[in-house]
Amino acid sequence: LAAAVLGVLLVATLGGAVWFVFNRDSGPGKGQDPGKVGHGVNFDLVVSRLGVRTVAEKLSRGQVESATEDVRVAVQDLYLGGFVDPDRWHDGEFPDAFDVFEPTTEKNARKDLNALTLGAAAGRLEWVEPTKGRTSIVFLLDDQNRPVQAVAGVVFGAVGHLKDGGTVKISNGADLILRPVDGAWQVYSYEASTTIEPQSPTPGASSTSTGTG
Amino acid sequence: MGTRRILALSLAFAVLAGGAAVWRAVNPKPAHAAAEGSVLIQKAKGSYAPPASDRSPLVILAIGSDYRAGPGPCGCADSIHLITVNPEKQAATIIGFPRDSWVDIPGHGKNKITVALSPNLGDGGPDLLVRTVEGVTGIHIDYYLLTDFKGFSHLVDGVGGLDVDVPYAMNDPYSGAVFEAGRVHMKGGHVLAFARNRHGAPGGDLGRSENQGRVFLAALRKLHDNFLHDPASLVSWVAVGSRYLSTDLSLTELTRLALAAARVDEAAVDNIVIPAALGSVGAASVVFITAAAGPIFQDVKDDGILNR
Repeated sequence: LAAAVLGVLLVATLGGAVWFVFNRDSGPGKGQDPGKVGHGVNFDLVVSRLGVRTVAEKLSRGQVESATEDVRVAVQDLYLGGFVDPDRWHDGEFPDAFDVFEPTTEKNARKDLNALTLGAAAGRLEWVEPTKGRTSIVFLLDDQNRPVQAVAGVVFGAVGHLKDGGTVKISNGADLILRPVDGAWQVYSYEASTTIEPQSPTPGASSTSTGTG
Repeated sequence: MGTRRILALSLAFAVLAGGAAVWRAVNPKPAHAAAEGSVLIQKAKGSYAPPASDRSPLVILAIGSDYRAGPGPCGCADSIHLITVNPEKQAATIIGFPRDSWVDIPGHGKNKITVALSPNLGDGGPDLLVRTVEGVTGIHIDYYLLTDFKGFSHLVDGVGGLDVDVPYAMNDPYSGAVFEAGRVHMKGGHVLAFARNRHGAPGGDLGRSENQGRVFLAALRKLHDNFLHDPASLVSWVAVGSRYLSTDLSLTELTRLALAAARVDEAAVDNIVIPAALGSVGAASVVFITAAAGPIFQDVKDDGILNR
């Protein structure tokens, strides 16, 4: 009987191992620690420069600090949903990435999928390891010194790990113009570019996917 | 079934399952086998800016007042430009009106267009000037932008000066415009002198109005270049504009207008002065708008672009 129990335990243990291997893509979803995803990746967008301009007679930065964090998190969500977190790629549709766009802008942003997210390349990627993630933010304050516009310039870089082995270099740059809508900062204008290429350029490499927004 | 048999089956299953797990771990297979083995290269660019307004074309009246401290100025319009913007085609037309244009001012009969801004006229001000220009052109004006001598100078200095294309050498003691021909970097006071120079400008008031259009082009060029180099510079432009311009545009609308203007290339902008002839009414020197102006107004009315 002891041997039988040992066997069942062994099966259970190995079964657990099998489950772990086949489900290892799963990581924390939206609503959990926003910076942490699978593969031990912890992505935190860094604010590298902060600028403030006001139309008021006298500048008061009272509301800038919280607005900075709100904009940082909104932009970080775009990069988590569009690049970093495989659980949010959703077969290359990246629904979470577009939450940060205003409805009219979102329609156009979806046409620029390959510029604003991993785009079609997501189908061949297992996971993404961020190497660079920083943003400059410049706020426009109104005559009451309330932040009403923000321009975020983002530089993002990562190593993409392919499903069939090997890695690619992912480079993205974006300028996003945001404004608060119902308490949430949303993007209403953007300019973005994304390049995914072999880490060491391969002579005569064939292109599998290209796109222009 | 004996204990040994159960144990043997369990172990066999465990070995199979474990083997499968190990095999899966060291041989990850791609979900899309079709692309397997080829090099992954993907490059894409995309951009979007909302239109400056739901209206198309967007029509703005830019007004420069002669108001300044001290005696003399009547608070009249020294500079009057109708700017029609086509947001979709990122193109625009600047139409200058000489300040002495002899026109109908609603409720006041014929007079120089410049006085429509003057408080001396009773209901004079930007609204009356807007209605006056609408009456002359038949074009609905969406917004106005108004500044005075001091505000204009601060405006230019606030964006770091302008590189203005001076069409001919100027040496005018009245305005203080002393420039060589060519592109000249100017601070606010110099741009003001350039824009005010009437005595040294061919055609007098007509030439001055065209030069004022050149100031708009210089500003547009600088905004465009600034934005290309650093999109965040847009915030500085809007802040400076909001501080030194009087307008019926909200801050959001002003930002959207600046964003739209930043994307307009100077080459896509026509700068003209309405066809007019110098003349006089009594002892006053005036400018008569000629019949050739009608087709121009009709031309820009639909799409903001001069197609001639």
